Amino acid sequence: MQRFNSTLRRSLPTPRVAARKPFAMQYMSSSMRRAISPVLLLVVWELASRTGLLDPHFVPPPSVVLTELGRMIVSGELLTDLWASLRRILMGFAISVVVSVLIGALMARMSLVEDLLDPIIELIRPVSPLAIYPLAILWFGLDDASKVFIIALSCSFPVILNTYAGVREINQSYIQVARSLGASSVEIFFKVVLKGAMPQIFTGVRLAWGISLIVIIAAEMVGGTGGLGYMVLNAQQTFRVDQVFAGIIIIGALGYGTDFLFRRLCHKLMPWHQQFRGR
Amino acid sequence: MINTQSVRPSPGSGHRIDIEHVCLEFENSRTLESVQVLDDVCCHIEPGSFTCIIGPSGCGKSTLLSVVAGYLSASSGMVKIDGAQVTCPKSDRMMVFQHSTLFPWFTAADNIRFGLGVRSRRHESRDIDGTVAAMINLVGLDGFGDRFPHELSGGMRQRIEIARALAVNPEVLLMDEPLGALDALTRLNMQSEILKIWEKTQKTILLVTHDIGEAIFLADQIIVMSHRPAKIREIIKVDMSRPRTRENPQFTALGQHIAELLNATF
Repeated sequence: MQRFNSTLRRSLPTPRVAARKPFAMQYMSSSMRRAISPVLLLVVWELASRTGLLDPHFVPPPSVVLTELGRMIVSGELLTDLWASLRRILMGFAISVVVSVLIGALMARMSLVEDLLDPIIELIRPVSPLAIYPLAILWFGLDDASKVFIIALSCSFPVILNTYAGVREINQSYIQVARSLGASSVEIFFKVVLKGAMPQIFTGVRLAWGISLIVIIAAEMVGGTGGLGYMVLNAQQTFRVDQVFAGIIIIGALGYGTDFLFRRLCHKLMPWHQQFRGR
Repeated sequence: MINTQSVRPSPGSGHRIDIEHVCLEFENSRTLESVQVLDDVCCHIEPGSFTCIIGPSGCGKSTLLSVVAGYLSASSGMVKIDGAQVTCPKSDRMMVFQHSTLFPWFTAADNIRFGLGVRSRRHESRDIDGTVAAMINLVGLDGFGDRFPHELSGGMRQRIEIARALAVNPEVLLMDEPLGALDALTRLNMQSEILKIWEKTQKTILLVTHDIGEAIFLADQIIVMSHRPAKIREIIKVDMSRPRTRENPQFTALGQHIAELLNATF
């Protein structure tokens, strides 16, 4: 192979002028290059807003937004809303993941369970959780319970479907071997089936987390009793556009930060899995 | 130093296998034609002996092994292990496959521990950690216990696979082309390794291969099978002292004989 390459190279004409790499490729690291466009965006935005090119009432300059964000963090009002949203997500998410993994795995292993549950799941799945939320308010009131319910419901679909697929894809020879080694059905379920489906389950869990971040904001806008969604809507209605931007930044940071934690957790829990190796 | 003596069963252990008039037919689910895979297979395997099954690829060697393991049941005839008829998979006979079936989510040691830790075996209250270490030592992989399967080479994975099977102390070890996926050099080393393990543990081993040299190198008895439907062409007793060398004229002569039976060249 190597010899072939060198013969090939010899037979090709040498370009007279070597192509020069662009400055950014030559002298900057990848992470530096990745900072270029966000920094540029901020600078242009700041200038446009300061010079009146963009109306600062609708698009306040980033410096104003960040100052307001800082003030809201220090005063604690932002953390109150952040915690309100996070608390609801965590409760709904935790309940949902435990139940949905069991449902998904049982559906994949027992065709009776699949036949009984699949039609219901497929009927409810395409309905936007927000269409169901008014019902949840009627049943559970405007407090946390209705939001926890709607989060749990919308988290369940990706987890059930991914668990189902993961369990279905497990190599049957693992189950055969486990049985030969004397494992009982329960042992096979927990030590082989669930273990083997872990990567897929985690994919579902990550998707569910992303969905719950979206749904909670919308739910808090509709049935507002505090939380980030309520805060953003409230800021818009009182024409505090800087606070709207501050809220959006926090929501973005929350999503990015938690997904980072998820990936680290995957790596810790599944050091054997290809996808998470070497990160 | 780990004492491998503790896991060695008394010499002469390992069960006798009787394969009696086994026939097997499959129904092709698409054409609904029935295909005969095994045709009146009959043979007896002495306790603690090493038997190789050789035959053209696709002839039904592996199917026969699956019947012995209890994964498939014969259409007629039966397999008896130590006089008892085989009806389902059991841990008195363990199968080792060509492609690793090690659980990728467990380390090598945890793979071996799996069979020892199942509830049905808990009353045996053995020294599980000691047995795991002894098994790793038996297959010559001391220090590799905490590696995941993907961190091991193909040959190492097969050794751990054998260790996992032996850990539950089966009487019979069934090996379905265990070295088929390895490169030629590793393959030769592993042949000696398997022989060493067999001599230490005295299990009854039934090994499927399509490598004539491998069969002669390993076996006390070689079962040569014909093309589908698989019948036994000949059962050859190999009366050569071990270690056997491929330069031995007896080795070559036997190889040519088997090759003729299989219409192959040796």
